[in-house]
Amino acid sequence: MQQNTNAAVDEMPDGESLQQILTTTVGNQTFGIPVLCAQDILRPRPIARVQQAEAYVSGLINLRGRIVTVIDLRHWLGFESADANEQMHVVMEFEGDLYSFLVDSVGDVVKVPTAAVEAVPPNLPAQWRMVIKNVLRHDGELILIIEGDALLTELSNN
Amino acid sequence: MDDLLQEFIAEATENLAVIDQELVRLEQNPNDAEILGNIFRLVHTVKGTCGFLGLGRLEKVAHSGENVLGKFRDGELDVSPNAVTIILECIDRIRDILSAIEETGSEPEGDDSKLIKNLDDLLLGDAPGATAADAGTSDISADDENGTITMNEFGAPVAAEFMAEFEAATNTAPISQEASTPEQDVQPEASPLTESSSADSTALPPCDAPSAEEDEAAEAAPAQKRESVATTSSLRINVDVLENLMTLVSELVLARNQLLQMVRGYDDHEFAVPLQLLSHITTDLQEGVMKTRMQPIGNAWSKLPRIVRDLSVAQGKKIDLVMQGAETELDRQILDLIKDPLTHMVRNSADHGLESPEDRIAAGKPESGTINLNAFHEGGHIIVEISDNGRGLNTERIRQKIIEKKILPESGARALSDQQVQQYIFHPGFSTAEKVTNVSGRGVGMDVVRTNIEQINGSIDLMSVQGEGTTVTIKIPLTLAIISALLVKCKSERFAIPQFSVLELVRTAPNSEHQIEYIQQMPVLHLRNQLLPLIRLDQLLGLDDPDEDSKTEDSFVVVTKTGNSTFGIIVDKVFDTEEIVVKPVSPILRNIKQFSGNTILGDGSVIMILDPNGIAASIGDIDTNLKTKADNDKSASVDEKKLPLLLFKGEGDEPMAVPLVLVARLEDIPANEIERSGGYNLVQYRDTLMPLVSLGEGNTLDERESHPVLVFADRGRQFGLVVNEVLDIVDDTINVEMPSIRKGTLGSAVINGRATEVLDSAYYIQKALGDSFVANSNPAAGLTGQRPRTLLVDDSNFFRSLISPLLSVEGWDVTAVSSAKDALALRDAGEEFQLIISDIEMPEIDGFSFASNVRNDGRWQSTPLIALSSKTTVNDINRAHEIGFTDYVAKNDREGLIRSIRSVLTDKAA
Repeated sequence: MQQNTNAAVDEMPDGESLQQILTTTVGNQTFGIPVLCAQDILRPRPIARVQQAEAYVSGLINLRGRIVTVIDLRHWLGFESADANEQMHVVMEFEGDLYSFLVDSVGDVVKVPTAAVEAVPPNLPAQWRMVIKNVLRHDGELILIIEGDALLTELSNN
Repeated sequence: MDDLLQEFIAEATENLAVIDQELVRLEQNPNDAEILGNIFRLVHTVKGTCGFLGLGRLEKVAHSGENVLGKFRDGELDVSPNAVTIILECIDRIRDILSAIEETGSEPEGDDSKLIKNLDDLLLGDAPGATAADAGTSDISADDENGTITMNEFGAPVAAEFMAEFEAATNTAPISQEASTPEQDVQPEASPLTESSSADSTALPPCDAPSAEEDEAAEAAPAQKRESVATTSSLRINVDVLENLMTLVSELVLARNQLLQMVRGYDDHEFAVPLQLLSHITTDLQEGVMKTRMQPIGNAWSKLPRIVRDLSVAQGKKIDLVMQGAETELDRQILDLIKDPLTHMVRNSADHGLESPEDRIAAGKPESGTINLNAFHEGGHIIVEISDNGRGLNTERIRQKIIEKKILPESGARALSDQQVQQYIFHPGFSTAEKVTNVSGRGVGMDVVRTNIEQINGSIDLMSVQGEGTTVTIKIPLTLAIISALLVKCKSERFAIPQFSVLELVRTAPNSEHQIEYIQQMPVLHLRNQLLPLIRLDQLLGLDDPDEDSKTEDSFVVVTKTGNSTFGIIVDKVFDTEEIVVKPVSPILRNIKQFSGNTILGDGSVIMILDPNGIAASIGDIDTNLKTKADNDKSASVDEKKLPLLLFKGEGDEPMAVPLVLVARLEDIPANEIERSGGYNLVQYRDTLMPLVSLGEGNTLDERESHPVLVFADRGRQFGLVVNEVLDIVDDTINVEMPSIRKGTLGSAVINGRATEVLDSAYYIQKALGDSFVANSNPAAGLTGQRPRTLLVDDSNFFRSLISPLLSVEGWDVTAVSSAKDALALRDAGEEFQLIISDIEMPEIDGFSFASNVRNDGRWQSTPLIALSSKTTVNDINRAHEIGFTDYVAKNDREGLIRSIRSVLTDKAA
């Protein structure tokens, strides 16, 4: 996945590299997901619950015959939970399994210079820092870059 | 050996086809070392293998051919067309012999000396002259007449047929990994032969074993050539291709299911026929593809004879290994997974199970022990039995180990039945081998075996009779990829339960034959004389319970068996079974042990697959508690004979039971005769006032004309227990299977085929004739005399409750305590008793220690002490007397106890 992220970097004529970021909102915050990490963006659909699963797991969906584990970003980030039947799925692949991150809405794809990426401020809550490693400034707005791999690595190991 | 031979022929035929082509290439590029290397290696393999299989004629021919090829390779001989012709002739001869072996199973008679001489001449003569060539050709033509004709008329067709049959029978040849194994195994075996035969023909340089590079090159070359090999009817296919095919078929099955789901309910539609066809073809395809993955279990056994042989030599044992059902097929994935467990268990049998010849003779058994391996199909499963006729498990030693390793407290371990004790060898870190040999006892034990088997949804059972042997039965599914599952619904959720763990479905409803009964809120089902613990799936998984009355609703119990426990899962609804493709859950969900995977159903929805093992484990705490307690009581009363029991209805409709010996009389007392006084219900009965108590904690009687009453007599005093209805008197054993926390009952047992609560009569004696009552009681009843006091020490609640009333009837004032510690506390508190009755097997301080403590010190030094034990060996009895017990009585011998008490007291008085 890290490679994919790098592959999303375009070379600008003047040598500056650009990164394509899909913007999404969760709660009142804008988050970005590197475009090449996102395998699918899906409309709301019924989610099969998994009993006894951690609260941040919304359940499972069927994506063309493959089972996708749905992760409730709102819950993970500490926002109030929303109706999962109205939330969009951003699907990523991690170590051969598919995961979907539930977001409130999906916005545009923005191209931002890689240089605009800054490290995440250390005063964010630990839960946030597990999934967000970098912050971007774009058009006067802060976009927190979601790194699914980082979170999933953490979750799989527990 | 037959299988080996067939495999060899299949492989050799394939190799020969390659050699033909390689030789032709060689002729064109005489100096291509790689080609030479390949040919040499192939011939070498053939030669080596036939040496191993005892095919002498073939070996000689191949050997001579190999020598020539060796010279080619080393550059000592030019690759001339003449030489190649002779080599080809040699190859043809090998082929002829092979096809004859295929037909008859043994080497044909024949004279190869000419051919061999030609080859040898080629080797010796620096330049094979015209004569040699002529001789060669003439020989070839002569041979051709014999050879090719047989080939054409019989060889080829028969061979093809044979190959087809062979494949159908084994399915092994096409799978490259497996098929190539024997070849690799064989080679090292063959090399000594190579050397020795090389030494015979002095003129030859010793043949080198093929180097690794050659091996690799050779491996690659046949792969390229394979498509053009038309003569062989078996191919080797990369496992990945098969796996991929399997996945695709799985998806096809899903799509098919989806389609079927969509048209279900429409009886008459235009798709019916093509859909049916599609369905059949899909099923056939699925079976076909599954078949390609199937391998005989014998493949997993192939190494066992050698292992057993080595073991028997190393340990000086004589062991026969009998293998049956080696042709039983199962999925190669599963085969791989059970290989190690099987090997481990056979090792175990050979190492621990079987005795040395001297021991066996001493035990009156035949000198050589037998290990039996038996595999067969049974209802969608493969059963593999590994049995030996050795010494069996030493349950006593396992018990000691359980105590040593602190897996269970001593009392717990003592209370286990032999069968239960045996199961502990599956406990992690358990090895009873007294010495750790290089064979077993390396810490990897039966627990690993069990884990491995359970991982593939199999189960393992063990049965052992000391002195007679051990049988381990493994039940494994045929395949893992697609399983048949039962779909159930609980609340609004659907789940799949693997069909192989489902024993039966029971529909339950109130007032029906099968109804869910509750013991302390724990649901149980009484099914054919067995109390089955039930698990409410909604509670287990924390499903919402919108309907509080669901307890009374009709529901289904899925009777499920895992490893060694059987339980029922309560669900709301049962749909049909469906073939599902098991998909593993993502790693972040893997910690949920109730699920073994997830799947996509025909309708596209995702559902979870329940894992019966996980469910059994997640209720394990409750379950084992119940079990241990129940087992304690059970084993305590195992030697109980059947005793007459009075069955009655207590407060409600549930049956209760009490040993008849405790009940003096049954009466029906009219309600108007019952008087109330001093908070008691009393009745004038045989000129005395008899207190009446009702069941439960209260003391009120419901309104009715008369009350059935059980009259309990307690040394002249008596009380009546008011019940709802007296049912019956039956002879049965009381095996309390569910302990009780409710006052007044000892627990529940299956009596007369129903879940029945056993009355705790001691509780009601206390309730009716408690001290306060004694104080208020009518002195005319003759209660003034000071009753002798006895102390009863027994950790079993059941026994205390059973014996206390008996002693009371005998006129004793009984103080019952559950441990020696409590008893000693009473002593230190200055209590006086005229008699002490103590159990022997107790936790912490056992009866012996208790007795020696009592005898050595304190105020009870001269108090008569009776041991009451279920163990009545001479040793125990002697030891008891030595320590200072006055008498020793078997637990089930109540008459004996009474006699003993009387005689002890008489002796003391005398």
